Amino acid sequence: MELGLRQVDVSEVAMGTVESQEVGVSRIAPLGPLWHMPVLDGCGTRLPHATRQSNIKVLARCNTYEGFRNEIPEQKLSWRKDYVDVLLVRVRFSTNLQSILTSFTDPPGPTFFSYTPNGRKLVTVGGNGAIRVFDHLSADEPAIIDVSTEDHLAVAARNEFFVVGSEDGSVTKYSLATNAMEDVLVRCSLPIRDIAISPDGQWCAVASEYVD
Amino acid sequence: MYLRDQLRPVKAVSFDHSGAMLAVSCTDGVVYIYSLSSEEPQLVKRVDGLISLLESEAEASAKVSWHPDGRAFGAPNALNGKRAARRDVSRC
Repeated sequence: MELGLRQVDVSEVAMGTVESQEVGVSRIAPLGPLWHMPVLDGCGTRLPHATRQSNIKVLARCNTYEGFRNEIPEQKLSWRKDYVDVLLVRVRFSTNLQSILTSFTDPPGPTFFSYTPNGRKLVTVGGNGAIRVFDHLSADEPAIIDVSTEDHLAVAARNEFFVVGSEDGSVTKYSLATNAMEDVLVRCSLPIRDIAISPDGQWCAVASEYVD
Repeated sequence: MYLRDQLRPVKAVSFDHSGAMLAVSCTDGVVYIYSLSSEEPQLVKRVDGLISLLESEAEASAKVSWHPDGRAFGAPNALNGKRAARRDVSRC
């Protein structure tokens, strides 16, 4: 896959758009803290796949939080501090698009994802029950953990482990060292809608439909 | 540990970058901000008008994203694109 390079002026808001498999990479020298939001188009956290047009937009901003663009539809947002790190992640993520596109032949629903805080691995979960772990430092195929009985609706990752929430209400912890299940953290009676892990890795917040 | 201030299902949860605050996006359209600095999480603020009214299984996102310095947070919103709220939790 050819990668295009272009210069970007750090002082203005820069936007790169990825149309299906094409990717543009901006090479800049960070001046102070930069915050940027890798955003996936579509509905919320839906990953691009073969049946829908995919756009990946990255906003680079210099030390300010004014100037949000209104044309971004409802998206899951995330902040990264190290601009260069995310650029690298974005490039490799795009090269993985091809393998994502070919491996999802008939995706039955939305796909959810989470990067590890160090940006090395991307964990994706979806309706077909398989959990995929992409390693950005290797060109290998993603590691696949098959959990065929469950519909996964949420995932959150730390550097050593990740936590997956599913439609049957269970929240399960997996190790990234072994790519295997470690523990069931909690079982709710209704589907899990979202998961977040605290920055110190000690707490996991779980949003489920259950209301007493 | 259960946070039971929400009367309707919760759509999304988000820690800030220091781990001291938790933003809970509820299907009633309100974002509940909890402080985690004490043993029991304390509800410190309810933010209305930031996120849309969404059903639990809606594909659109209501997840709050915290600015790295912790002074502001934003959330996607159907009517206004993206909106940002200042985190004035010390004033409530």
